[in-house]
Amino acid sequence: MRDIGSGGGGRPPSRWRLLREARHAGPALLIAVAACQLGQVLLPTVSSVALGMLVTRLVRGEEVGAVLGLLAAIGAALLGQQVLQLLQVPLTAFAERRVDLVLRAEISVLVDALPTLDRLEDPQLQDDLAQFRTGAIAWMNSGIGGGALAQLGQAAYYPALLLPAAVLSGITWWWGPALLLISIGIRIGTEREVIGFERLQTAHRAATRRTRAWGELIAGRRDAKEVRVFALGDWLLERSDEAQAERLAAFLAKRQAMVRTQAGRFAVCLAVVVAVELTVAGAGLAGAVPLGRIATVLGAATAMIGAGFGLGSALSIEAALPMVGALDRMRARAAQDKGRRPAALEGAAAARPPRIRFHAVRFGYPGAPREVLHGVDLELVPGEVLAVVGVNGAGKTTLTKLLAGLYEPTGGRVTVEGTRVQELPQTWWRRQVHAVFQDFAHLEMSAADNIRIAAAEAGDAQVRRAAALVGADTLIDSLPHGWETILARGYTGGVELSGGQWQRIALARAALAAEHGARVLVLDEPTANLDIRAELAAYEQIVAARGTATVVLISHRLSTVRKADRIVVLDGGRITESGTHEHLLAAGGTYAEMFTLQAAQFDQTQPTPAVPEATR
Amino acid sequence: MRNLRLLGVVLGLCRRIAPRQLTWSLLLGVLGAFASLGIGVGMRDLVDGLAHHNTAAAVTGALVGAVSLALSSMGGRVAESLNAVLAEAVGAAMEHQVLRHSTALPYGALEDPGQLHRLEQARVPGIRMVSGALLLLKVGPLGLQVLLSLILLARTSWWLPALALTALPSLWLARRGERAMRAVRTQVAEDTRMATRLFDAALAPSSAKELALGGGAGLVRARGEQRLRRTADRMLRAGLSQARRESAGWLVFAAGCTAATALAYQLARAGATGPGTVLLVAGLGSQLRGQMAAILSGLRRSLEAMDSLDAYRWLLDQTPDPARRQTAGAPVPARLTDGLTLTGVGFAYTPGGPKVLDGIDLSIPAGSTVALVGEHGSGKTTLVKLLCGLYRPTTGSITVDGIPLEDLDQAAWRGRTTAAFQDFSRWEFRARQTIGVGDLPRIHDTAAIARTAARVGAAPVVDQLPHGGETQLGTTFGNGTELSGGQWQKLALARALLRERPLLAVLDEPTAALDAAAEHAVYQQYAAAARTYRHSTRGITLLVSHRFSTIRMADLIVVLDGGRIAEAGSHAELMANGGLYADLYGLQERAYT
Repeated sequence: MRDIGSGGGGRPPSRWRLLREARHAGPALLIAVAACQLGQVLLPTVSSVALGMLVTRLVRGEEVGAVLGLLAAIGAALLGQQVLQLLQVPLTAFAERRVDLVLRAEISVLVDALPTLDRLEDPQLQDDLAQFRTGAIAWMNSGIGGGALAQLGQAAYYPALLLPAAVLSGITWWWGPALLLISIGIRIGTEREVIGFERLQTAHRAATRRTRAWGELIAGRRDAKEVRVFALGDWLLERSDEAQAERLAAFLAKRQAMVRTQAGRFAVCLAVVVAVELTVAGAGLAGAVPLGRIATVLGAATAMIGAGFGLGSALSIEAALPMVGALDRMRARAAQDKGRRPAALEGAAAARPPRIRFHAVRFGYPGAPREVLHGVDLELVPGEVLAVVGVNGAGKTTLTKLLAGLYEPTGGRVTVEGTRVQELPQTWWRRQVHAVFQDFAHLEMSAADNIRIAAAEAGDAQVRRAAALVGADTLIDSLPHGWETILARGYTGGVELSGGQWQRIALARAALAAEHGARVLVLDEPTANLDIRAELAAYEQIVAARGTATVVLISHRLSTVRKADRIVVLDGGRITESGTHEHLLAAGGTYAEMFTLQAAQFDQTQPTPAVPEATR
Repeated sequence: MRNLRLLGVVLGLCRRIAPRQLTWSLLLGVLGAFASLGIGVGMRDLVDGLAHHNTAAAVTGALVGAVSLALSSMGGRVAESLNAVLAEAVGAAMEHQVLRHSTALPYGALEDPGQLHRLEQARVPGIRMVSGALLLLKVGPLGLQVLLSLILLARTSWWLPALALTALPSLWLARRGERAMRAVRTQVAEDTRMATRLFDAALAPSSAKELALGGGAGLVRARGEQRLRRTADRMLRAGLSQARRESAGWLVFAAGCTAATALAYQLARAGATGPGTVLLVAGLGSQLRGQMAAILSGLRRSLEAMDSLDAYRWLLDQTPDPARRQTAGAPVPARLTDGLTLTGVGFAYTPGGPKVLDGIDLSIPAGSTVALVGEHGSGKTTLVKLLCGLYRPTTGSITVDGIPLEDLDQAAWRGRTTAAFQDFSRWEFRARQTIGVGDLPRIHDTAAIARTAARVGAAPVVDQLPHGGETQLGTTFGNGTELSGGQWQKLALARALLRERPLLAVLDEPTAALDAAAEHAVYQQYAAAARTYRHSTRGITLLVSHRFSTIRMADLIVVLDGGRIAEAGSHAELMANGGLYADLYGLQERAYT
């Protein structure tokens, strides 16, 4: 039963391994939770002992006044059980969240520390990460914290059963073990079932995920417009039902099998309990056991069986095990990475933009059949505004990712002042470069924080200043909660920005990064969603906001590009043209062709420009 | 009362889908109710039989006790498994209903946080809704147990049923506590969601690459932690204060139980009853606690499901049954004769809220091409959604050849409109289907799809795929091929232009990811499509663009500003006007000279 949901591969760790992660909740909290668990198992037996003593006193004919202490003990045991249960729920939930909080932070630190993007894109790591995403577990949103606390509960539970067992065996030796076995048998049998079910869920995880993905397509907001305009509801629903059908049949069969095994377990349980109670009656009739002890034993037997039906924690334990396995693998990989790169240089922001060179750089994505870059030679002159143009898929974005050190070239080198990017201190270089990619992040955070991610320690005043530089301040001021407005629908006062408005936020990120010491700014299609007026203004704003930083600009809008200090054309994985706008226009190459095409729309004598043959 | 009605809904579905399991589950539930009392009764008879040396009574008591113990414990487990079968089967049916009805929700509902929240609630796994309802159903047998317990207690002494009264404060406090907890859960929902989304963003390669620069990952982590910590603290505080309140109630009840046991002791000592009765009373007392606790937890745990079930009912009531949706409404003309007319059209996202569009009077002649121009926030997108029928105007009306838009046969009108949105969908199907869903009746018409793909320059995208049009795209539904943004866009274009005889085609500046040459080709394509529609159906083409090569060729250019029409006319007219349009045009023109 250890190989359930191994997901990312490898054997999941032992259940006891979970206790080590429980430590993040702190000792006081853990002791409190364990005490709640222990008390709930012990108190019913305590109560039955007290009741037995009460019967003994009754047989002796004692006054009520003489047994008040016993009566109080019975009442206290009753109250205690309830109070412990009431406390256990919030304390356990709190402890689980504390554990998850620490581990989530650790996981995201591990991800952030990965040296290159392809390491993050590695399918094995993505499988491991998928374990932590919400919804990975079908039944509950339980993380490692849930499993760790459940395991703690188990650790307190089993020893506690020895008390009723001892009480039972005090009269006839086999009563204790017999009922203990039934109780534990029921408990372990139940856990097996739950685990078997989890195994089934793991086997159908892909199908479940697909079912949910269909649901998201049908009922989600992302595709709602096209679902309605093209009336796709029924067609999608048919496919969703197909995805669901096979999964459902397997689950129903499993559930029905569970009903049958449990009926068998019921028969065994019945036989043992009948045997115990009849021998109890026999012993009593033989006069060998006083009435008070009989009463205690009956109470203890009920308590013992009842304990077999305690909390159902096996599932959260089993669900957490593959997550712990994934976490351990991530930790192991991170340990291997350690020391491979120089440590961070503290506070050593470069005084001026560095000279960056691409030396015959080649690059192909892992697993992709063909290379994107076939030997790029390029030098970034400190402080220049360099525009990179080229058709879709020419590798412009890839070029910028190599520059930022997000990928390692498969051939050639990218150097910064003569040093390979991979040999630079990672955290330091990542502060020197800032990139606004085409698919820049739309984060469900406040407007201010959405800008602040470009320089995490920037104060509010700096964020506002950066936003003002690119004209994002008026936009943000007009939001319902101003700078604190969450930029997503579904939050109180939250607002979903349009594509152009998001682009302003992205530009503000670049401005903030520049102000915070970034010496190279990469802007990949920063104006694609802006209108004409904004597009032209945006270029001026970027150039003003960058300070002395080098700017690498990628744009299809040649109206923006033409003002750059230098323009390079990336074609067929190589740099084919380089020079100023005037220079390239005069050269009559690819750039000139592209520019003429875009400019033709303003040529009054030619209402519809000719379609070029080479649309590539 | 609401909950009982919702329970009725679920039981009705159970009876239809899994009647046998429902019967057994109910039967075991009732047997379990008797069995839990049998434990105490058996114990009493055994002890009293021993006290009076009555072998028959002692053995019967032992047997009753043993059978009851097995039945109330393991028998209850069997009942739970039966319920799980029910939940699985019925839950799937409910999920199907939710999806079916969600497509009938108007688009605007998905942009309203309140309605979106309800839809999300209804979309919890169906199994959870059914399980929750069955938990509530279990409250019935538990109530029966309480009733039988009280009868047994009354037979010992008429005072003893008063024990139930001492449980009332605890019941009342528990109910109050539940309500408080629910309020807190709602309060923390946004925090939890944000923390989860931010955690996901930190792990996803697409966002992680940006967060790696500038220390953004640390900020995202800190904000997520902050929210999660606040959630944990709030939930703990609320849980502990609920525990405190409920404990006070249970103190009263425990005192009542102790008093009842003392009373039974007194009666037994006086010889009015046997010593077994003391055990019965103490046992029933503690069981009464357990049964009431179970009732409470059943109620408590079913609450969340009840909210989801309520949302489920809301969704089903809100939307007409898509199956029974009749083709009501006026027939849609084969060809447009007059065109579209907007009269005093205004739109606000919330009733009484600020108007995003106001006083739009516009007549679009049949067969014309209209270009919509305006800066961000001018209301372009809203107007597009209104014309696509995604929103209904708050004020004013839209007519098609004089017939109000909402009076038309909706399905038929949908069949005659098409659109390419700026934020187009990335349908991760087979490439052929990704285009084909643009005109479902022809999704198998490979030739037509290939033709359209070739027309908009999407053919190279499809041809370079490993299995051509049959290649699975994306990774959601299997190990498919990933496309670039520009490639997805070409497929979206092909999808939009697949319909051959639309009366209205909306083409919303879909070129953000295209290079100059491809972009130009696309606009040529738009122009060609517009010409086709003009001839085939006298259909209207609506273009939203900043590119003047596109805008200029439109028959009618509508300039929006602040939710109102600033000016409208042909390119020449607007240039002569010297207004906003001439201003914007001049700006871009200067960039190229």
